[in-house]
Amino acid sequence: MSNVADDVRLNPGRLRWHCRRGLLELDIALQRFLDKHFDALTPAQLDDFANLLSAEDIQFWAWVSGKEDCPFAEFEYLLRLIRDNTPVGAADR
Amino acid sequence: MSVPVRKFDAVIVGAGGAGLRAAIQLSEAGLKTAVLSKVFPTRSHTVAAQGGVAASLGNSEEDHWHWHMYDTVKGSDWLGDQDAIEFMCRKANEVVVELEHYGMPFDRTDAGKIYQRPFGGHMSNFGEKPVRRSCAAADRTGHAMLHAMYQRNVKVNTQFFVEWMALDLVRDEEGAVVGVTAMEMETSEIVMFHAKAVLFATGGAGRIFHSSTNAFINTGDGVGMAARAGIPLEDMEFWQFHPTGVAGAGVLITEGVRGEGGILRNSDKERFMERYAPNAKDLASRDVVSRAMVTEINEGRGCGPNKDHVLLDITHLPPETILKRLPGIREIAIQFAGVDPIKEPIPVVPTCHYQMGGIPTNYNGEVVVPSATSKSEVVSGFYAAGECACASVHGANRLGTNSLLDLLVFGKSAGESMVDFIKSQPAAHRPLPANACDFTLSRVDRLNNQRGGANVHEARLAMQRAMQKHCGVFRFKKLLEEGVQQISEIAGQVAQTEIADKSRVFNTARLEALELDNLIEVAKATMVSANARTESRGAHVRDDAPDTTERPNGRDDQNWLKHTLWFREGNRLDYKPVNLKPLSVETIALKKRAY
Ligand SMILES: Cc1cc2nc3c(=O)[nH]c(=O)nc-3n(C[C@H](O)[C@H](O)[C@H](O)COP(=O)(O)OP(=O)(O)OC[C@H]3O[C@@H](n4cnc5c(N)ncnc54)[C@H](O)[C@@H]3O)c2cc1C
Repeated sequence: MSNVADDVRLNPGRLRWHCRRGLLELDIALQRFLDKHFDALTPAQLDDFANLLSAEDIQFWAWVSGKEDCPFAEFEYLLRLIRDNTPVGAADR
Repeated sequence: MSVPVRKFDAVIVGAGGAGLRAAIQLSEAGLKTAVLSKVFPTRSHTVAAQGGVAASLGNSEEDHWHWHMYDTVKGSDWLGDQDAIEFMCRKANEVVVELEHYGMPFDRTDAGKIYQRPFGGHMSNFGEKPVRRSCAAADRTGHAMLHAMYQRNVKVNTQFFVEWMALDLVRDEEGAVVGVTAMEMETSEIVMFHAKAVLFATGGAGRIFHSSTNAFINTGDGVGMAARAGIPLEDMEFWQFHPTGVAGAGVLITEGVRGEGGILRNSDKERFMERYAPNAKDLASRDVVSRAMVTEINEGRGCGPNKDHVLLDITHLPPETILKRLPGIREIAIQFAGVDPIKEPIPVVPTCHYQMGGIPTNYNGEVVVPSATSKSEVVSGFYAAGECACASVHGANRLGTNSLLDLLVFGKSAGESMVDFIKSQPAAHRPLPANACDFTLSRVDRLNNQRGGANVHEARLAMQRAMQKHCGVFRFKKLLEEGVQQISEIAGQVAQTEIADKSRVFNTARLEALELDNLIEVAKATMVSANARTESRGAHVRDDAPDTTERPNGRDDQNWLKHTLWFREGNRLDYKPVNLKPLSVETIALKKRAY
């Protein structure tokens, strides 16, 4: 695996910016995830997260909200963490 | 310092519905066109629109653009310009059919025509009864629209600069617009985009309020950039609110919840709507419900530790009903309020939804400002469309589904005007002024070197709280006056924000500080304009301008049938007349707005 520090695709700042979405629902859920779980991700998990973030907003929210089942098993643990709704005051934007 | 320069015929800032529609026009005309966006185009906020786009196609029942025009003028509480409104309603069918040709998968009737459904405020025969006028693609209208137009742009070779943030509008000595400065997020490099014509299509600024349905990227960048470049902002006191957003989060709870039997309660658990609207109760119109909620909160009957919201209660409904009819709402309540509405009521608060005001334009999408000789002089080379612009078709209040129409019609007309303008210009670009990038560089330097300054997150929160409390859905003279003072103090903090992280690769802290520079301009414009307008009209409702026989709904046409213009310099206000003269039909005469 390439060195994370050198891989722009997995640059933490870039992934954080990719959490800016067109839907407020996703913005809030992802901000919560960034505040609580992001720093603990391993390089392999960052790679999964980068792939998950490339999903379309409507689809992504359908997975997070449970309206649709996500067909990709590798995203399941991330979706579970994104759904973790214990508050962190992240809605104050 | 030398800044790299890139040259284009046209530069468009914003890749939402308005920006994409304009870009099609320019690229199809063979002009070299750049579109800048903070996020990937199909992640623009237009993606959130579900309700549909209005057009009097008459596919489901008889309809006419003139009826649509009447509804829009009435909805605007007569503050909309009737020439622009006629233009938009007449063009609706054309732009919707074009969108269909770009591949938009509209819902269809059995006969294969675009299916249409009813939507609040859209009526047949000049306000007689509801008409089916909204065209939708299931519950993903905005998403489908962005995709269709993005694909079209790729086909016609529009050049996209994704994850670039425009920072300032650049004007030459004569005031003509010659480009924008922008930052590439990946490197933090600043580049000068030199253009013959510039369009702003940067969307709304709903994030100035603490409770907002808008996505985080909706920070009013275009509006802030225009204000810094000396362009006045029009009718910024007018913001549409939705009565029920989840408190603290802003995510919308649809009216449908009250339709299914949801009840609003205060801290005494009282069903307070019985006092405000004895007949309609919780199903009263949006503005009545919002005002009642704010009154309860202001009089100390709000809920929660800060007594800053009320409760939407559906615990009396059978769990099966909730699971069957409102599953999405249950998930939203669990995710964003931390409550299961089967067992506990949902905390809600009136929530900012849509910006009616913005950068002043005419119906050709040209930006217009007052000059020594005219109230509406065209700014050479500058255009605006979509939620950041004020044409003005929504006036004091927007009708649902008219904003997607606005961005198609005025995105297209702005694009056409730009093509004509660019083709009329000499082959060479107007030269850049010598100091073109100095202002931007000094702003970014200030931010990078600030010591002992304000925290971005805290300053933004202070602004949002002040806007929500002093300039929310229901406005009070004393609170507005205090609000003007508060916002100006907060603006002082914003001018001295400090960031700890100075890294160059996707530095979100720096980007958020630069966004806040734009938000604060919108907040100032809103507060100052609202404080000055001493009537109630459309979405601007004041306690000291109540409903009387001389002034129905508190509207004062004698003194206030005019557009506000706010200038950043000196926080100055000016006014210009509303255009009551349509293009081809008779004026739609002033009347009390009642439904
Ligand atoms: C929840 C919700 C539902 C809605 N439903 C409907 C509906 O059903 N029907 C309807 O008619 N209207 C609806 N609206 C309103 C409508 O969606 C918006 O008014 C409209 O989509 C705005 O489009 P726009 O093109 O002006 O801006 P946006 O779609 O917001 O796009 C703005 C673009 O500008 C870019 N940008 C911003 N600043 C910068 C910068 N500094 N540098 C570079 N790029 C920048 C962004 O990246 C983005 O690409 C709804 C709104 C909300 C919040």
